Amino acid sequence: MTTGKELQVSSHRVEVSLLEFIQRRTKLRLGVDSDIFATGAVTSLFALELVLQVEQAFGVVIDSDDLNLENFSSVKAIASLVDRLQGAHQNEYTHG
Amino acid sequence: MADDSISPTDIATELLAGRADAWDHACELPSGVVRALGARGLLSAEVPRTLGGLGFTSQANGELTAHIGAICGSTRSVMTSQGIAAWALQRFGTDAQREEYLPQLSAGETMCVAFSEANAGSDLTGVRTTISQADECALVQGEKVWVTGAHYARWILVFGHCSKGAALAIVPASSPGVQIERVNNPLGCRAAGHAHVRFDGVRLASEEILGGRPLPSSLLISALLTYGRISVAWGCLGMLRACLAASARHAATRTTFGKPISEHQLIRRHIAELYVAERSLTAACERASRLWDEKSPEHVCAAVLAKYMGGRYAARGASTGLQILASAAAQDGNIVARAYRDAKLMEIIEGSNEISQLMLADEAMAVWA
Repeated sequence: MTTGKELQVSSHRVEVSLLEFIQRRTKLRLGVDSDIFATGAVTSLFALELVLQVEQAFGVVIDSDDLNLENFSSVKAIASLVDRLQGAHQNEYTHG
Repeated sequence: MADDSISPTDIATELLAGRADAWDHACELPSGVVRALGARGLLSAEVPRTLGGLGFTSQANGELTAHIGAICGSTRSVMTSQGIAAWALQRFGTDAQREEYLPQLSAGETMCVAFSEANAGSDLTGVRTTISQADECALVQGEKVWVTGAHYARWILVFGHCSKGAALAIVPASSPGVQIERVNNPLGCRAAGHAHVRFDGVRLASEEILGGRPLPSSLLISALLTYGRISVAWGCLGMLRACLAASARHAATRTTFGKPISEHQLIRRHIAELYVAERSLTAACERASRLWDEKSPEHVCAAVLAKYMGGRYAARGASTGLQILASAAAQDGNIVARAYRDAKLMEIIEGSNEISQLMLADEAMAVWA
């Protein structure tokens, strides 16, 4: 079982890692609550890269049910999606 | 399905070799050949084994795509189209959709994908086709153009807008309201079954919406085109290899001024350039597929790069090949003349040269600025 505190730490790690990825790929310095796609500075391919990055870096599979803009609107939203998916598949992945 | 005793490349050679020029001339692939390729899993070789496919990696399917592309660009185009459809099902489909369709695509049935419209090619925001909900049904309305493989397809995977984003609908080609009209006299890939397809109030069960729900438009398009770009890149590599082989063989045997033309310096430069293009494109295709197989986000841009290089190098390589073979290839009925026409189309589809350049400039600025 994962305790609440561990989840929080894990979420923080996810957020930091995503902010780094976004900055490396787009040169944008975002906050965890910033609207990623409202910036207009992301390319047409970036949405796909972001989904792939989340899947690869955190060992989750994001299927059609979760592929919506709300889940990817901010780094905080993505981190909570990762939390939920990791909770649902706790034994099916290992941390990268 | 798969008979493991004969390799897929040997099966393709057996079904295709020596026949592509006649099919190009007739603007038609024999339906038995399309079905046989599909039944051996070759048209969508990355379908997992658990769903009846060959379970190929992107790299392995790429080699197969280049092999088929070197023999017949039309067959390779149908393969790209079916591969995109299969990938769409795998990536966005529900379990029930995967289990229903993917085994059939590995058993001889065909599915094509319909994106482009008269006013929506490079700019797919211009798409006007709608997929709307009506009672328990989905209703498809719109007109698609240049749908590769539509002439052979049992199902057409149609891209359209819906109230909350975009969707792909799985439409049986035989549905009432579907009209398929072949493109007359296409410049290249003449036997790829290109058609304009009209959907006039086509009714479907709601379960025929891929994934059962709307999806973000840019994500859907990028994901499917990325698969298509890798496939086109490998297909172009096949064409380029075929042109290099034809050029080298011709240059070794054709004699002018008392020696084989391969000994003339200006011909040697052409041969060297073909060789450099073939080696460079091989590296770009292998890199894109390796990154795809590793599920790295970098494969998205690597696919654009490989596709861009593929279209450019294949078009230029075919032109160079024609220069070397000269009158020996200046008539339909040989691989170099066919590649000259087919390769030009590869500079247009799955991201034109110009759209690719914009994306590559974005990437260059992200990495180097």
